[in-house]
Amino acid sequence: MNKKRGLGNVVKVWSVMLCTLLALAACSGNGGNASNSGGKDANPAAGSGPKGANTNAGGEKGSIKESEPMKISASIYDRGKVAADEGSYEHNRWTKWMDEQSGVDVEWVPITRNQEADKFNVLVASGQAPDLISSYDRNLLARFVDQGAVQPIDDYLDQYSTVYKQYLEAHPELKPYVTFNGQIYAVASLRNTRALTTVWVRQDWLDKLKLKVPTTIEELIDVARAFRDQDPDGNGKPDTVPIAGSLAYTPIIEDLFFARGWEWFMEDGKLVYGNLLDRYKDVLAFQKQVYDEGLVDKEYLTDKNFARQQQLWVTGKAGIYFEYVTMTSFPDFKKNNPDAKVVPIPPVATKYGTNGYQEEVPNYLLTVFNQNMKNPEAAFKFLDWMLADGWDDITSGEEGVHSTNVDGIPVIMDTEKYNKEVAYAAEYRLLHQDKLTAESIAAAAGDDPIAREFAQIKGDAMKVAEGTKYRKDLPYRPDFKELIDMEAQFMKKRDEIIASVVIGGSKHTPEWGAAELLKEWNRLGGEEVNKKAMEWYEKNKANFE
Amino acid sequence: MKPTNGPTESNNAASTFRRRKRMKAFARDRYLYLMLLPAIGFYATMKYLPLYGEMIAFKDFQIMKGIWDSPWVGFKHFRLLFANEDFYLILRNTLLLNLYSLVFAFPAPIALALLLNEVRSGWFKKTVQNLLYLPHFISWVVLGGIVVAILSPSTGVINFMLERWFGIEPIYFMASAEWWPVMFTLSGIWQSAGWGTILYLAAMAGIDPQLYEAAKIDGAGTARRMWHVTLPGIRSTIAILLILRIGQMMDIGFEHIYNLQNNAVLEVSEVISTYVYRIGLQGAQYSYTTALGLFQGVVGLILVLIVNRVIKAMGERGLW
Repeated sequence: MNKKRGLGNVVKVWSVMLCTLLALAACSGNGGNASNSGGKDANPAAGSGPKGANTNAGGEKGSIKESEPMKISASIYDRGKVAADEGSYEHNRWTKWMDEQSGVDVEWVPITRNQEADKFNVLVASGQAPDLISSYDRNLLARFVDQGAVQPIDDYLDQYSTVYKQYLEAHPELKPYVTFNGQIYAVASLRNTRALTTVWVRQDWLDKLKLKVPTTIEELIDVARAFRDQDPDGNGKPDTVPIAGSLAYTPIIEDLFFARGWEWFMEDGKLVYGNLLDRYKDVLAFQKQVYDEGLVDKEYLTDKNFARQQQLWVTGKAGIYFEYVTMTSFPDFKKNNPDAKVVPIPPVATKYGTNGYQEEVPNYLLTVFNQNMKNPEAAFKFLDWMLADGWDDITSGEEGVHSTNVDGIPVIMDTEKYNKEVAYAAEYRLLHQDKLTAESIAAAAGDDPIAREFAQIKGDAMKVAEGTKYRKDLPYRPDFKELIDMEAQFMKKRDEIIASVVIGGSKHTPEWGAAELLKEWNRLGGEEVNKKAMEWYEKNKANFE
Repeated sequence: MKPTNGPTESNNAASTFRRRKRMKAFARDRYLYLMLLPAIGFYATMKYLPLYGEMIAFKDFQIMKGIWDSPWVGFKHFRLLFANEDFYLILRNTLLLNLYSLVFAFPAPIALALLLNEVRSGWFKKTVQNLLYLPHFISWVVLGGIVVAILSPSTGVINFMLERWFGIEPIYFMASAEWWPVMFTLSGIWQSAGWGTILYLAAMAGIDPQLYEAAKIDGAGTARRMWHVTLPGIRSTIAILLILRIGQMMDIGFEHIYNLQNNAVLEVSEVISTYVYRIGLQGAQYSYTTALGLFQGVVGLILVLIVNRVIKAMGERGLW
């Protein structure tokens, strides 16, 4: 009896709980449905919106303007560069200033720079993505285009844009990059420079050991061996690590052998994925050799953010630095090694010839428009303002406070103040008309000796980068579904295989690695992807020129 | 035996009486029930509602169509999953790493609690406890950096000591497929063993002091008292925590493993949570990885059911 009653109780309690649950579920279900159906209703409206608005543009445009507040939301890369007393990426002096100047209220949504794929995917999949989604990853955006999460903007361009529309007409070379499936989906401006990666060498070490600047990959290895064995820093200890790397380490090596891993190459009329090229064996062999000979930090595999290697460089323990032209650690480096002299070296030759350092795609940030965006007019009002005036002040800071105008070029007054209060704001330039040249960098550097030297070598690096042509067979990476679906899995395996080859000793040769790469590619359906790549090429090649 | 006439009447009376009694009890405890509401709300919204999304494991999830309107595909993603050899690798890694932590990390807080329980000096005990709790409050991003630095072959303190005292060549622990699981398990113990002692210490505080006195009079030493009084006293706590732990056999805390992983040891360190992150979130294969997550959940549930049975058969109170 007792037990039975207990059971009855349990059943009752559970049914009460279930009812509550169901009620809750129903509520939220309704909520979801409501927003869903709202979305459905909104979608066709949004699709035909511009045209519809076009037809009664004359009569009712004013009322549309009044009903929609000038408000948009936009993503912004969070690189953790906003100092605490400056505020945050959402709110700081520049966001406030932009709101005032542009007349558009922008809500910024920070996206951690090295987690953009998962952050954007989650935001888009849950319907919380901002109105403007900005990224350098064209394939990520191609996926959103494919899913219908973003919308074509041809009509908006005609209707709402003046400045950007003219800009795009003046720079038709941008068209292929902002066009997806035959329609314009993105806005983008030209990059201020297309130089990206470079190899920095300690000229003072070369001089001390009486070595020449290496011109071939063999000479580069010889120089590295000399740095390892001949105590270039003169402290009497064998503690130098010749080569330090960064995120650019593997890409630079791949480029030297004309074999960038994730690019496609046209070989004898067929498109081949970079990691699967015969040449890729040499990429693996080089990485393995420098590791085995101790020419590179033995612990770079656990050096997740390359912090350890940057430290080696900054503290003067390394002599060759595979890095970006921007080398952000230079001021620290120079403070630690006041007598050091650093030069960018031209790309070294391999048995396949001399390839240039990576030349960036011509476009700067790509910005796409959320399907559920409320007010495209406000978006273009902001973008037009940014391209016409905004970018300039954001770049140089407040005149008289951060920079002074000398012959049309804003010269930075106080480097430290500028770095803290202005430098991070460059992130907000969704569009700009900035143009970097060796001369303009040098002119903008001001009086600070370290800043001047930094500008000097950066300018040199840009000249070096322009000196040799970079082979790129396709202007942008293919973005068809079959490839996108398998690429994440392949890249994971690829990174694993490369690591195995590098530290695997005699067991894992470069040949083994190349065979494994091919095996993984085919296991994940790579043969089908190869075929689709050719189809994609035939379909899109008309846009490439 | 019930009388044959009027069973309904007496039943009715009894049930009205019971209902009234329940109402009264409810009225009396209304504030307690009120306090229960947030907990029910939490579980309903955070644990039960999201189950709705599990549906996409059987669908081809398309962002713009949403969960409900995406097309059904049946067991397609499960078939893909079971056909992928990576699946067996990450399943093996997940189970193995959990097994190591079950064998080595689960008993660690028990042993620590036993030792702490015998410490008589108050300030010493408090200091030790605080030091032991400390890593629990530090993010794995930081702890991971500390682990990598301590174990570094060139600058790490462990390799330095090994070389200085035993003449052992430096070992690259974090990039070695043999050493990595060891270091993963040890770092887990370091982070959580101290915090884990709290429940056991609380259980030990509830043991009747008379038992210790009786054991002392009978001539039992410290070790005997631990074995015959303290351990049996916390037996049921251990059992409950063991069941809960088994429920997580398919689960490895993402933060911990992701921050210690590197490309050289993916073969032994890729587990379900990191795979779901890389392929599902970064690669946007939502349905495929949801299928994996669902599989993980179902296996976890089955494991809990089995262990609960076993524990009950051993004469302990199970979870239910």
